[in-house]
Order: sequence, then C-alpha cells, then structure tokens
Amino acid sequence: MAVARAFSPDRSAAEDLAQEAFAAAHRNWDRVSRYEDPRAWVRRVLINKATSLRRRLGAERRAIQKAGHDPRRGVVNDLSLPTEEVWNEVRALPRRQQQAVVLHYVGQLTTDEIADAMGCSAGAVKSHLHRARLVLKDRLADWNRSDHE
Amino acid sequence: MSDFDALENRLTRAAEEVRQASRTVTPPPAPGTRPRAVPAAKGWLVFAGAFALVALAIGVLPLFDRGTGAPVASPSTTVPVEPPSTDAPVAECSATGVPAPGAQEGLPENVAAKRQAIIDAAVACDFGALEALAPENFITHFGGGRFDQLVEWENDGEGKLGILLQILGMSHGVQETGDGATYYVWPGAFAADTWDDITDEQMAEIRQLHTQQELDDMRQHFDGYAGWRTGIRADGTWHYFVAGD
Repeated sequence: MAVARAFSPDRSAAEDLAQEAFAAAHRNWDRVSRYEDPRAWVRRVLINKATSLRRRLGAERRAIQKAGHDPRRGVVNDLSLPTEEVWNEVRALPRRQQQAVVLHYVGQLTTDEIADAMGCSAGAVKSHLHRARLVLKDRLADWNRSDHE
Repeated sequence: MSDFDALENRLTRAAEEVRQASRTVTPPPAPGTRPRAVPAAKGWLVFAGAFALVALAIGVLPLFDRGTGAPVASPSTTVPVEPPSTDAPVAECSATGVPAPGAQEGLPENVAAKRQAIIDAAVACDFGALEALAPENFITHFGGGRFDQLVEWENDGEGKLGILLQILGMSHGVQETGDGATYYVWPGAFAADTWDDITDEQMAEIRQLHTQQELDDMRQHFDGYAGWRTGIRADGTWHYFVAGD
C-alpha cells in the first residue's frame, strides 16, 4: 500500500492501485501461486498499473485544467505538505527513475529485487537511481530556498 | 552535510511518512469534497488489498505457503483476510466475449506456457499481467510502438486484445529468422513465404481478421500475409503483436 501511495497523487488512487494489483493476483491465482516468489509478481503488476495510472492521470489533469478547474480539488490529503512535495517531484521524474526511487526508498527493496520488479538489470537500477538523485538534489536546493523564504 | 546527504534524509523521512500513513485508516474526505464511489461488491477487495499490501510492506505476511501454494494467514494478526469470492467483478475490454482458445499441440513447453499466460491475461483484460509477460522491446507497430500502445488502443475504443485472443486460437506456424532464432507465429498464414503457400484453412482464418478489401490491398503490397500476427520465440519470449510492415 505504501508503494502504491508513493506512485499515486492521493490515497484514494493508491487504494485503487493496490486493489487492482491484488485483484489481478486473484484472477491469475492458479498460475501465480506456482511462482517461486508471488510477491515479486504482484510488485511487477503494481508497477505496470502505476504506469497506466500515470498516463491516465496526466490526461485527466490536462482535461480538468483545460476546463478551468483546479486538478487538486477533491484530493484526499493524508501526507504533510513537505512530504507531498517530495513525492510530487518524484512522480515528475521520468517513469523508470520514479519506479526505482519508490521501490528503493518506500519499498525498501534490494537492487536485485528492484531490477526484477522493473524488468531490467541491477546496473540499470543503479543508473536510474543515480540520475534521479541528481535531479532531486537540484530540486532540494529549491525546497531549501522556499523553506527559508 | 552534503546536498546528497540532505536529499537522502529528506527522501528517507518522506518514505517513512508514506509507510506510516499507509498503515492508518482512510481519513474522512475534507469538507466540500466528494468521496470516490467504490462499488459495494469491491469494498472487501479494497480492504483485503490494502491490508495485505501493508502487511507485505512491513514483512509480516508470508502471503503464500511455499509448500502447498495455498494462501496462509498471517501469524501476527487475528484479523482473517477473507479469500476473494469467485463472483468478484472482472474488467471488460475488447477481449470480453471472445472465447478463450484451448491448448495447442506441437508447441515447445516454453512457448505453450507463454501462449497460455497471454491467453489468461487477455481473457481477464489484465493489462498489468499482460505487460509483465512482454519484454521491454515488445513490438506493437513498426513506428516504435511498445506495449503501451495496446493500452492506448483500448483507451481509444479501438482495442486489439480481442484480436490477440482470436489469433492465438488459430493454427500456428514456425519461422526461422536470419539470426538463427525460431519463432512460433499466429496465425499460421504468416509463416507461409508467399500467398500461394497459404492453405485454404489458413486463408479462412485470416478472413476472420481482415476484410477481402484489406487482403486484396495486402496482396498488392506484400509477398505474403502481413496482417495481425503475434510471435513467441522458442525460448518463450513474446516478441510482437503487430500488423503491417
């Protein structure tokens, strides 16, 4: 649920994401139950669904803004503003960097587990994390400036 | 403290807050907001899914008995997680209503298993599961389309999952590529070198996928069938689901 929350703009969307991942596990239970690590399968499905969510939300947000409304209206906030800012920045990263950051910090997975979940090599995971940190480090300077203003 | 250390601290704190927030119950909506509707039949799934993910995140739920593969209850909780009912609502997509193809003879084990997994995911309209079966370089059109394209077609009301299911129920062919790889392809007509090599049975199959006009156009431009097709390498890698050239 925590991983789903970091991928989602609010708790409600995170619950939908988690629900969909587990519903998929249920539908494919005959097959999934035979896997060595069914949790890895659920994580992979969660990531894929988060990708779909990211695409869908982008389209929704553009449509809402086009209609002149505030896209954040109706969002249920359950995180402090500074934390929400951090995850907003993470969600603004390129998709693969976002996935690596969420799985590393929130999921607390090892590099190999992240590689398995993302379907790439451990080296690629390290590269995604490194590039993400470079971007976020610059954003941190902005956060610090705004904190002191 | 370096910028990287400060960033590490901030990300770690933010991650901890997300984990903490995820362990609490959903707060009531703020005044003036409308809670998102959750169908009653799905309500338990929200609970079970959220509960199980939290338990997984904090590492208390083994989830499955590795010996039997059966779901197990967490030893750290007295709250039972009700198993999903078999009449839970399922997603709908372009594959809904298309009969699920049965097993097919003549396929290596890897290919048969991947074909069955694709069928299972397509029948369930489960794009997440389907994407997990596709490699990163999966091809859906030769302009650079990857797996995402399948979802986009579906969202645009032009879903192709039904076609995928349909062709996996047709006869298959075997192709050797220049680099020595062997592909199992559906429909079998795609493995025929020329239009003249396509059997009557294979022609009847592709007529279910394309109009006569489309097939006539194809004949003009291609040496053989170039319509909807999918291919799985002998090692079980699902490589493409594509039409055209």
